[in-house]
Amino acid sequence: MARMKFLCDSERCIECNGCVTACKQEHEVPWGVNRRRVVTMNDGVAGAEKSLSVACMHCTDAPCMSVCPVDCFYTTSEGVVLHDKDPCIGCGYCFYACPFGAPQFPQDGAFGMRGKMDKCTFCAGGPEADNSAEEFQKYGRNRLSEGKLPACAEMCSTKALLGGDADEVSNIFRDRVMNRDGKGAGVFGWATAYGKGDAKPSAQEKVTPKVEAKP
Amino acid sequence: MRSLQDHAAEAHPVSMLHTLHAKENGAKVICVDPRFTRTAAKADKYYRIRSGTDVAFLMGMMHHIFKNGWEDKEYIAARVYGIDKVKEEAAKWTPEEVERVTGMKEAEVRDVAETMAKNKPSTIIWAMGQTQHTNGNAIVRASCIFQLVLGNVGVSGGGTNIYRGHDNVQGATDVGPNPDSLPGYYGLVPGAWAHFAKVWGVDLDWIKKQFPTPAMMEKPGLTVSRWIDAVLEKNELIDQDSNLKAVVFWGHAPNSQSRGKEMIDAIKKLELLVVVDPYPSATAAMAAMSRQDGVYLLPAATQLECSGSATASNRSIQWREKVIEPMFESRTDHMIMYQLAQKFGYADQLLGKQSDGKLRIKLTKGAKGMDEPDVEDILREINRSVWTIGYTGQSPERLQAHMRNMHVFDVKTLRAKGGKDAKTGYVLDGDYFGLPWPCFGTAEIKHPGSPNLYDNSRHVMDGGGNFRANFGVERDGVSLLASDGSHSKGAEITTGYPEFDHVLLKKLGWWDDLTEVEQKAAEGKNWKTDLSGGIQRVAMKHGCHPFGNAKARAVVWNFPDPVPLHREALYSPRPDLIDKYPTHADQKNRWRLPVLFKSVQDANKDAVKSYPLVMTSGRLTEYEGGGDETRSNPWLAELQQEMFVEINPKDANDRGVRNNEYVWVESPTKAKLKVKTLVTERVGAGTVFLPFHFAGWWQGLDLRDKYPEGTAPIVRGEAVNTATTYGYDIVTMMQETKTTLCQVSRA
Amino acid sequence: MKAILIFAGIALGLLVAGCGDRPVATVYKKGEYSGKRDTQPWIGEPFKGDRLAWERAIKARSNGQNEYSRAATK
Repeated sequence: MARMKFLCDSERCIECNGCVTACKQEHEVPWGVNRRRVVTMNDGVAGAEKSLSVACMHCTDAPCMSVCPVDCFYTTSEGVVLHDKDPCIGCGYCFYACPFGAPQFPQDGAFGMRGKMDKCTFCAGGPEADNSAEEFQKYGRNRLSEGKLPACAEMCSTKALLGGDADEVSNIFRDRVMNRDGKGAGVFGWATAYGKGDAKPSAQEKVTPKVEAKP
Repeated sequence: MRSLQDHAAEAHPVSMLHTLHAKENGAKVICVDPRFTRTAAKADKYYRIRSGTDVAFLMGMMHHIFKNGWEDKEYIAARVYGIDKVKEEAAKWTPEEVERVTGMKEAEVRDVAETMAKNKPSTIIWAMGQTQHTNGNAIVRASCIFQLVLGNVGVSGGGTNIYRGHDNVQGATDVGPNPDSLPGYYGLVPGAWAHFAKVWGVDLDWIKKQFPTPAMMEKPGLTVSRWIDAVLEKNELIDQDSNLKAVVFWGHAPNSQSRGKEMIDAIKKLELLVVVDPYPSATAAMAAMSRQDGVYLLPAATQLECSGSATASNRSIQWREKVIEPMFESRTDHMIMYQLAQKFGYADQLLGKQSDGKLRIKLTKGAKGMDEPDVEDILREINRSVWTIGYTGQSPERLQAHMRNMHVFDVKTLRAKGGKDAKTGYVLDGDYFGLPWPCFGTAEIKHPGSPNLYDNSRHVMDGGGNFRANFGVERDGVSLLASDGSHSKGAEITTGYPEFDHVLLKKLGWWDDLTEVEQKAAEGKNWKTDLSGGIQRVAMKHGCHPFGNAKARAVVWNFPDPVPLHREALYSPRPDLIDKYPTHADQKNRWRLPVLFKSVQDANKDAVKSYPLVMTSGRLTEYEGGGDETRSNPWLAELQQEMFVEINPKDANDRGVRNNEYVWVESPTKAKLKVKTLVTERVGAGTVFLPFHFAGWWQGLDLRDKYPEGTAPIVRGEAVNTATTYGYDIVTMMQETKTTLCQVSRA
Repeated sequence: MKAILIFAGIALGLLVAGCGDRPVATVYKKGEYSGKRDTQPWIGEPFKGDRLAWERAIKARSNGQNEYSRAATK
């Protein structure tokens, strides 16, 4: 089995926030802490508006893990980045380092005091005993150990957000992209990577550099 | 190809998957809406339309279609009545005129028309964006006619897809909440009363005695949209003895209805107000604003706390299991109904008590050990009575077998391939999931349900159909029946034919196909009143549709506008168009009340000078309906914490307001809403959008202390309908919530 | 007598438990994970150590997200 991954298909995400609600409900995440959120770019601009659901991406070389002064992060054998909240000192270095804004800090308290970091666990709980009350209280439900996938992905209304074994996720996505009637390249990201304009697979042929006859 | 005035991505996120899936498989998606919605963001093309001008746009498309000969001539000749009159109207809608009225360019209108015509089957999806207008009936009919012109109705992948607003709205409509009909669209005619009295096991004379006069029994009642006028209108102007004195809000949000300001006056004047709801809802707070007594709150169970059948937008029915027991003091709706009937003294009639003491609907133990009518028996009563739309074959046993064996149904065709229910031995093969109505005949004859209405490429026992012969056989010398050769597959009558009754069966020589018992029941009856189901069975055995085979009406002669016409909204942003496209004349009596049209429009011709912005409203994904339940849920409340108005940057800048600032939104009723701005290009300049799920603020004031203690929703805000203006559809009495005027200023 | 002994045992146990306060300060070793060890997801209920069964379950759930395979006309 490969690594666990999330993938959000911007051609499918409609910003319904079903993923956010599923996450909050499954783990009883307090108000103000967003393990997952949906961002919309170019809101209201015809032809340019895209929405994406974002949480911890469970990086292979996770920046949060590199910068953590107390080394409370670990990667599971499935490639899920987790952390032990007990040694966490709530310094927020991981928040600086994370490119996705995944680390969250509780907002309660008289001075908005910064508590221990909280983030998406890929529904894999934490280092406490699986499905124990302690694990739930600190990290939320451990669906992975029940043979289930993250609640956000499984609840997604349009199946924009996929989660699970990277091989399986990419298989599903490949199927979909190939069905897109030449629009597979229309997925957000292609134009960024290969330039704007005709973003169809046939465009690949057009950008193939012409070999010029040497003088 | 799909389009128009539905915002599925926010209002129906799960259904949006169908559209996205179709798009991935090559369908073109075009969104036509006054607002660039999340649905528009997923469409191939988006065209902006001025709110409330849909008829002009649809006629403009038909203009292109007829001009280019894109219409399905064969289909129209065989299956549509009165298209010439539509052609005449469409001819008036030149591209220039369409642009003048809708703001849409010729190329845009032509593009949608051509895409729809050349990529068949094509469908139109809509919801409240078409219906909640003063000319809503014309808009939806124009959409249907448009599909008829292209031959898209009765075709898999075509048709009109109208997404319902809530869970089981379709089912509720089918069992008859409309004040002009008994269940199953039987109407209020004496025959309908007699039919139901028999099914219910209630003496018809007893029913008659419940009405003060026989006329009241057959007169359409008041519509829910206008209950406030039924309270406030002068008594001599209303078409019943007394004004409305008592109102029961049963799972209904007051803030989803227009003219909130006047609603407060009506609530004040009522003698009795009852709220039956899982939450006290905004009704309770509004009542507390205006009165101290005569208000009763009855806590109702949610759908998770009861079982029963629910009908979806595609007319398929699912059986729902109870997840938890009713919490706190809540009781199920049917228990509350039964207990009210007990207090009123007609519990026996409600349950259909027979002379031998047997109950047609038995009692079962519900919440806290109290009696409630058995839900399976309630469905069986529907099965016994509603022959009109084929609610007869969906027995609780068949539906429950479907739920236990979902895996045998093909996800695309919805049809079972093989499969046998382990519990009952019921053979599922060939059934369509949820037995979408019409599922004619008794459950025993195993009609599979109809996945698409009017589809004559299939046999009637295979879910096929044709248009119903509901309006006679001819009109002004022109036949209303389908042309020769146009019939559902395998029909033994290959021409058009009228509805089936005992006379027709005898004429055809099919009477002897009935069993003796059936003959006895069917004598003197027709396909919708024969309780044995024999007439339906025999008609279908010969491949015929029980309701006849006729043409669809493009001209509805019994409506005020037989051909849909564009009419400007009562509060129009374009007074220059009112003379050419005026609204209806004022009506003295519709649904027991006078309805104002022209006088309101004329009086507000200049309103646009003080209220220059078009005010429209709609839904958010986070909240549902009036929003009291969902705004009380912390996980949802966190996502939308404040009521807002979407306003174009130009309009915001011209008024000196910035994003996320409080503003006053004032409508011509002088009602003022204090809301936050969301400055966005989603709306064009000149239009503002407000979501309708909020309540709990009243013109700047937080009503938190008006809710019973501990029941105020977490998120409260201004209800847009506090400010919405007068206006009702002439046929349906649907309120105008989508096109009115307002002004926005800094708070 | 036996009862008294058991009672004494419980009391003693309780007393000792009161003393067993865990150290609050964490000892850090640079570059090494400082938290508690986690277990593999298939160790406990309901998979009881059957890794392959767990992988099959996850794979089935993953494919449940593919409406193309569900919609395929078989």
